[in-house]
Amino acid sequence: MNVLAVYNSKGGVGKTAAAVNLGHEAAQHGHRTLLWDLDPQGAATFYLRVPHHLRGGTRAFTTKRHHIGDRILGSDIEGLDVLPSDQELRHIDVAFDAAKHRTSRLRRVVEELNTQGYDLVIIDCPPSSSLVAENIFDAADVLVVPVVPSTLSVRTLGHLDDALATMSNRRPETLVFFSMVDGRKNLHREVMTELRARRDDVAVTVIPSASEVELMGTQRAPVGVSSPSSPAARAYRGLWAELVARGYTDVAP
Amino acid sequence: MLAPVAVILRPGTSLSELDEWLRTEAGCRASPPSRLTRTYLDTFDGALFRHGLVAEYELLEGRRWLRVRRIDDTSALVQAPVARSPVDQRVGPEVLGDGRLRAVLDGPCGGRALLAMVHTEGTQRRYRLADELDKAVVRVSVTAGSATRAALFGPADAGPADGQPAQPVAAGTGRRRRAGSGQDPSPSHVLDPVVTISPVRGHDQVFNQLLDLLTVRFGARPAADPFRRAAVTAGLTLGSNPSNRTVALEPDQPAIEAVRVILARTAQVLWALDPGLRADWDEGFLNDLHGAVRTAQTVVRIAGEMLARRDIAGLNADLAALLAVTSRVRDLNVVLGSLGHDPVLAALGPTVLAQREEAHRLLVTLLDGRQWHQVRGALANPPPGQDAGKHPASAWASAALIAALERSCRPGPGSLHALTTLGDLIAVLASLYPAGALHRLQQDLEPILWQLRQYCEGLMTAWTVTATGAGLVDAEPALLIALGGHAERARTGAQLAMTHLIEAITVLDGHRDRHTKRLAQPRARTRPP
Repeated sequence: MNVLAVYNSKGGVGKTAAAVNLGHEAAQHGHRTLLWDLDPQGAATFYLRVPHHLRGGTRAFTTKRHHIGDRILGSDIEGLDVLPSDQELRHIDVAFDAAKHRTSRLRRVVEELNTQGYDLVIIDCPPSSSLVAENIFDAADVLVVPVVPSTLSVRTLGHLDDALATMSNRRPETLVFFSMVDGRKNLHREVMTELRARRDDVAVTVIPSASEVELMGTQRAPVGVSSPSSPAARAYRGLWAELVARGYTDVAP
Repeated sequence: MLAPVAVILRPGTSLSELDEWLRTEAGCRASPPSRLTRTYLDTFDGALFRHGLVAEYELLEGRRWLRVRRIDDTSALVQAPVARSPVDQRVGPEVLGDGRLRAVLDGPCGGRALLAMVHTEGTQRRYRLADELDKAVVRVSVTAGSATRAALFGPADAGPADGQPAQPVAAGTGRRRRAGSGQDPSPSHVLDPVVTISPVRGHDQVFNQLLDLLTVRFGARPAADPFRRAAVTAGLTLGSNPSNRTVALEPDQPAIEAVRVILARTAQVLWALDPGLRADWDEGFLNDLHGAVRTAQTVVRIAGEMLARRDIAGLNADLAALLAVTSRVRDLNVVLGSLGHDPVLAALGPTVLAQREEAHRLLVTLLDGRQWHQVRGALANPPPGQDAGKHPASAWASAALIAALERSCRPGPGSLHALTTLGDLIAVLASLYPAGALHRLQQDLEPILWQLRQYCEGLMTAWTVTATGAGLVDAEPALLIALGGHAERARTGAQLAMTHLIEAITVLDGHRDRHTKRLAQPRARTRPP
């Protein structure tokens, strides 16, 4: 089982859209996929028409009494299940801080999920660089990092590198991809060129700024379902293919 | 989490009645019916089925899926969309674009190609029961259609019946058709409609309610696995292995009768393998053909004392010629398999194809030829004065096995051949012995043969390389260098093979001493009335 965390400490960069659409693509390719919505806003849960409620709240992640498998719900997409979000996840940092093994709580949950028969777990992360982020780095095999080609967004990448550099044992791989790209803007083009020159973990695939992605909120479905032939749907398909081709899943290219 | 459940309904239930009930009383929403095509695939000798697996290719709404699942378990172990139909061509695990499929198929298939066994065609209507958020809580699909057996997998005794002369078959225009040719002449068989109810995680209660309602209203009861159902309906004998040369013999039947039965079965196996050999489907056809020819040769040789020498001389010559060709083409395949990534080896391709053609021609000559019928005639009417055939089959088999053990224990280049023959004989004659009498010998023989094959493949390759190299003097220097490098590696492997051969002989020596007496006097089997 692979764990992909869609992570960026900055908000509004397209993490949830990427998590939902990658989850859909994975399910379409025959992977039994779990989308784990860790963001208390619960946008991924909302997109997939699942109630915004996690039985047991954050205690499900901190005590052994709660079986995480009982909290998983099916979605409208065959092969894609959801571990829903809950308002209480706002306090997950506090819960982790009070628990034993404060930086590896999520890894323990992942180990339990491993018994549920999933091929892939995609975590929709909250925009945060606190204790929950440390837990995510510890639990994930790959960090998929959406970046809007703008100065502030790129700056957060440096913070991520610093945070990963402090990890002593298990360090996830990273794949950075550009999100909400407007090719008409010089700034976007320049930032993309510069970042690609500096890093070798930048995906070739680019997610365009598209109204279909924004419409996911009204359609409550991945773009691959609501607009399967749109450029955005094709881009997410390409991103999934790139993840596979780079060997970040168990699927050979 | 609950697994999907497939049920069939009370006989006489119409699909329109079910449709109306699902939409009105159960509150399901229906999608328009879709055309559903499924093809079940397996290796030619049913290796997947024997491992309890099913590979199914599905075409639904323009999407092509290949999935592998356990028999009687509707949820897939692994599934992946495929770009092209695997039905019209041989599909080896190596050509599948998905590492997970390869990982599941590699073991049971052992590199053998998947071939179409049964095709099903029909319609599928899908329903979903949704909650207040319009999210599906239960999915239902109703499938109806028919099944057709793929042409390759006809009855196991597709060859000429024993004692009947076969009709000549011109090369390339045989009466058997290629699997997946799209012109399958087999008739279609109507399948009972099946309702599959799939739970959505977290809504198990609704799933159970719907299943209960279906049971009460329509007398739903579990349906057999779709593959099993389609295969049985289409008249396919599941688990049958066309290469299986084992026959049922009686300890007290005359030895000549036992030889006749073994040769008849061998002929059936050879005929069953013929289409695969001709159409270049799978290496397995060739290897099994080679094994069958070798068994036939051994049986004819040890039956020599029961027949006049002139009766078997011609058949022996034909078998030797066929064995020589199948050995050569198999060894060439080993070279190609070992060095397949070297582009210059493409030069060997036409040689292999030519050898295959030759093997097919010799096979047809053998089975349709006068020599084979002469031996069959001699077995039916043994020449006067040949009394050996009247002895019980058990005595004859024991003598044959002990002789094979003796030959295996003589160190020398023929030991590998003798060991392989011994393995074949045990497999063919096993039914003459009480269960377990040969078990220990088989157990010891199996790892020895496996180890020897591993290393001797290298040795065979070295011989082939030498022979091929001699015939390719004018070929590209790069090819000769590639072959030469492989020959060097093979020679190193051969030294190890000899070590294993000596170990094998030591083990078999022990068997011979311990079991000679036991093998010579096998107990009569007790059979249930």
